[in-house]
Amino acid sequence: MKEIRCTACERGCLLLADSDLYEISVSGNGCERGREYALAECINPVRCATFNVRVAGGSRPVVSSKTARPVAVAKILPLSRMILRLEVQAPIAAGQTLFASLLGERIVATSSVEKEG
Amino acid sequence: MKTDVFVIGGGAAGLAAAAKAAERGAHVVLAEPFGLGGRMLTHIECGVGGMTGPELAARLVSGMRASGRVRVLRTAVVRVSPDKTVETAGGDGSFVCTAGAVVLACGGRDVPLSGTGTPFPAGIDGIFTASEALTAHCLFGKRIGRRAVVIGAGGEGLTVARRLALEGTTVVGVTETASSPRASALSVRDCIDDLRIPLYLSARVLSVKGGDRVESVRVSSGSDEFILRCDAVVCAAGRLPDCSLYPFAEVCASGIPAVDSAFMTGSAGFFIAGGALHSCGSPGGTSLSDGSAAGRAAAAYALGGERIRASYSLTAGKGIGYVVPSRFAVGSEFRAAVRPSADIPSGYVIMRSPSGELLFRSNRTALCSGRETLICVPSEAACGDLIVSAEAI
Repeated sequence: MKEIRCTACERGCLLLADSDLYEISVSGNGCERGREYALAECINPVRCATFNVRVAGGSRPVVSSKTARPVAVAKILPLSRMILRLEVQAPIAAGQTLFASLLGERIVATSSVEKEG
Repeated sequence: MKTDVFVIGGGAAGLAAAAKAAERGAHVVLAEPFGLGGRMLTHIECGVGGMTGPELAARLVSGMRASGRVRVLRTAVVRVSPDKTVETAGGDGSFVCTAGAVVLACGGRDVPLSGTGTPFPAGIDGIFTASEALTAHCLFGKRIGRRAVVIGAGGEGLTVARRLALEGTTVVGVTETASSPRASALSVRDCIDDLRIPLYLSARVLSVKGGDRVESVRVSSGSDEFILRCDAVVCAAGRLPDCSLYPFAEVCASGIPAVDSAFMTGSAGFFIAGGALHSCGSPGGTSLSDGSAAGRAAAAYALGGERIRASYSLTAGKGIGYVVPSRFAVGSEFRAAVRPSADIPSGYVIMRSPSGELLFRSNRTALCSGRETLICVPSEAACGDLIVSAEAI
């Protein structure tokens, strides 16, 4: 049994998903969209994750970034832990790839940082 | 210096207002003492349409610059006179500018610690408001602590909790006095559910203790009392409108400056939009549409074109904390931001005439006292004074 908060609309129903080997059953949903959402959340929940990355030699000490595609929820915290230990070199342009593959995910800058001075 | 429209503030509302006024042919001066983008720069999460705050800010800035009619001054506005003269100081320099219309889009401010109801001791380190914590992390690259408690589970509190957790700070708990989070299901999912951050509902902070720096927070939740050990406390008590630059604005009974559906105040030619007017939630949403509407109307006012005649009143009735705007033009559709005073899980926003006749009922929606509900009022309903109320099904 898994509790899932529905985000298909503003109501935010609390869904209950119960699965056996063959089938996932959903209850607590106010509409059909809730059922679909619960199924997606049970099978593989994904999110767009964002991070601040440390910058060396820049006009600002950090640059904002995001994963190039939505990533599995289970990867978000491990990714954040890796990024905390890394650093990139200024200058950085928004959209630039900062890390080509961290746990198989590409991390791109969402803002620009000029070189210091 | 002279200009058609003077915009104060380079956040979402200001940038949108400047772009829209310029698009309508007005010459615009925009004053912003810090970086263009305002609070969008510290909200690095993906928002509506998967765009992050910094990306949205960059898009708004380039849209505004594309017209070639906006001059940006990196300076702070220090005084606004009723004759639409704006004085600035610092940064690019001191200017005195006379404008045809003035848009105040200078944002809100966090509820000050003294106004939150939480007993914070004086002269102790490690206590931050939500904006301070986000600014430290996203602009200055500084961590506020190793173990943090966040007070308030509104949108802002959850955003801070998530950011802290992703930057290596252990969030030992988010406390909320209400019995449910005062934020969207999406924020609750992304913060509490995904990152497994403990959420304490119906919980009150009894005391905050420490020596030079915060050491612990005592919380009571129902019949339980417990202590959360921490070295930082973030107080996310919401935002207050701030139009201290413009003390002449008439204020409604609910404490919100009175504006019409084009965001013009009672003084002709002065407009207020975005966080300076009301609590807009995450940056880039309501403040954007506010700014666009204000910019369009400011250009029309300054260039002597169409002006709306807002003669009918919109007042907050049962179950409503405040409503923006407080006046509207007869027979034209308008948007209203309604802040309920209590949580209604499933209800309607209703508009009646003063005699009680039902003129408009919104779709069924969840009404949350922690944030505004946006309503599009059709032209048929805009035919006389309206009283807004919130009703459960």
